[in-house]
Amino acid sequence: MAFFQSIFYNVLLQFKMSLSRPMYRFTLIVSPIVNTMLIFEMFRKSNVSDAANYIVFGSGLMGLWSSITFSSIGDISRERYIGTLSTVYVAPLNFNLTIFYRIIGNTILSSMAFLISIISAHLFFKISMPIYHKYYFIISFIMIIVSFSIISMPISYLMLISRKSSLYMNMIEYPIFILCGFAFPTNKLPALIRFISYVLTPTWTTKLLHESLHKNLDIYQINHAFKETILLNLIYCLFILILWKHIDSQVRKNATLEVV
Amino acid sequence: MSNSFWILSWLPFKSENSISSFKEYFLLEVVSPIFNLSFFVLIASFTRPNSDLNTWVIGNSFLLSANLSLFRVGSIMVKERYNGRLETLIASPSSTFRFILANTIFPVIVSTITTIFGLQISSYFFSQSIHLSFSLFLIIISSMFSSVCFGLFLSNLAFITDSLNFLLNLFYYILLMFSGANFPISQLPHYLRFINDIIPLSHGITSAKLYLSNSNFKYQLFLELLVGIFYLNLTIFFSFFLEKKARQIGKLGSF
Repeated sequence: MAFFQSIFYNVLLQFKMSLSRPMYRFTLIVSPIVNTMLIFEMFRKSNVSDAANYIVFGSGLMGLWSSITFSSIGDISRERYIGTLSTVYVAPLNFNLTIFYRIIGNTILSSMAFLISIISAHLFFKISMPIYHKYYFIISFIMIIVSFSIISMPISYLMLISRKSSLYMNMIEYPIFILCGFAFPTNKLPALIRFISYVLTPTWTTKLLHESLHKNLDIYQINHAFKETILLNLIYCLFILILWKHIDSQVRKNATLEVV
Repeated sequence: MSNSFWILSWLPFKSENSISSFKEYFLLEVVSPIFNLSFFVLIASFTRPNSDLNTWVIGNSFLLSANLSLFRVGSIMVKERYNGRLETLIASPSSTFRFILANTIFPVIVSTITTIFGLQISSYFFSQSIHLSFSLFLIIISSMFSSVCFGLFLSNLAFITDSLNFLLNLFYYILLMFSGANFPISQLPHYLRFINDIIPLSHGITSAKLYLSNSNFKYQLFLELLVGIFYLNLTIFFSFFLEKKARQIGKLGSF
């Protein structure tokens, strides 16, 4: 019971903390609207067959990743700045779990970007998104939440040992948009860069989402994307466990939990 | 210009950037914006496979300066207030206009270098190589001037609001949407097209596109300069007006 309580209160706390920041509200609400408009105008008069998917879900994914970048990952820096990071670090609840619960809370809240993209695409451009296979879509969506939460963990850890949060936050936003094919397929990228795309879970969850939206499902492609997502998530979890040991010792050695 | 003017222009720039090493500065100010540029050019290459990508390369290279002019220059006054220097700045015998003008020098130089760098790198990867001539340099420097003046104008809003970061992000999106860098303005509804005329960079981008197609670019260049001068005048006027307002509502201090 205590386990579920800790999840519930951490997620709730994250909801409240995130929504209290005007910048987060801006990233969550205004950013998907503008991205939808911008990508729509860029796709207008193009011959791309599934343009609507790229417009609506591309801007949703961009909004989700931006919110994660500036909130889930930036939260470590904010905690450090207000002086609570060291307290949270040594609290009875495992620090990794605290961070993970907060990331989950934030990812769930940030997934509202999809809803905002769908509404704005419908309101401004009369684009409707029929979901032909709702179970596949729901599974894809859950995989997005899980995968984006897991990938945020090692990046959050980096913030524990570095105070250059602004640099990291800016450096990981657009490269992920590009590498994971949020607004165009990854086969547009050079072969060498595509290799990096394939080791990132958002690439496969994006593919899974796009495939699940097609009227005629390609089961082979869906299975492939699903298996890759699961496999990469397991590898990431293993990597997180190994990385944590290193980060934990570095944090204590270099005393990076405080502002100075 | 006197030596003190250069010191006045160098010190805020130095204080802003001395926290970062050259590598960090380069990553944040040059590499990160080039990723933004690449993202939009790659979308263009996907949606219009047979088009000349020069149009997007030029537009987005000019937009690289928006990062510096909006988020760095735009937050000058916020930082002055946060560091507790705003009251001293207002009370000092030196004119606020001189301080504002001095703050444009280095951002214009750095954003010009960033734009040229972005233009050369992206044209190498995505389109035909663009040769940097004197005319193109003139277009870039005029655009950077108007972009930085726009940032200065926004920085004045710090006198009356605490949510400047929100506003700066909003204006960044406005530049992204209405500058004509990513799609033709003719695609927008008629009642929104006037925004393109009054924002910085839009005439500069048109001028650069005209120059590369060997058309007459001088009129658009003149308009870009006019936009810059307009925002500089607006900055001077507003700095006087908003300074008075800030004194009345007690917004000069951090709290």
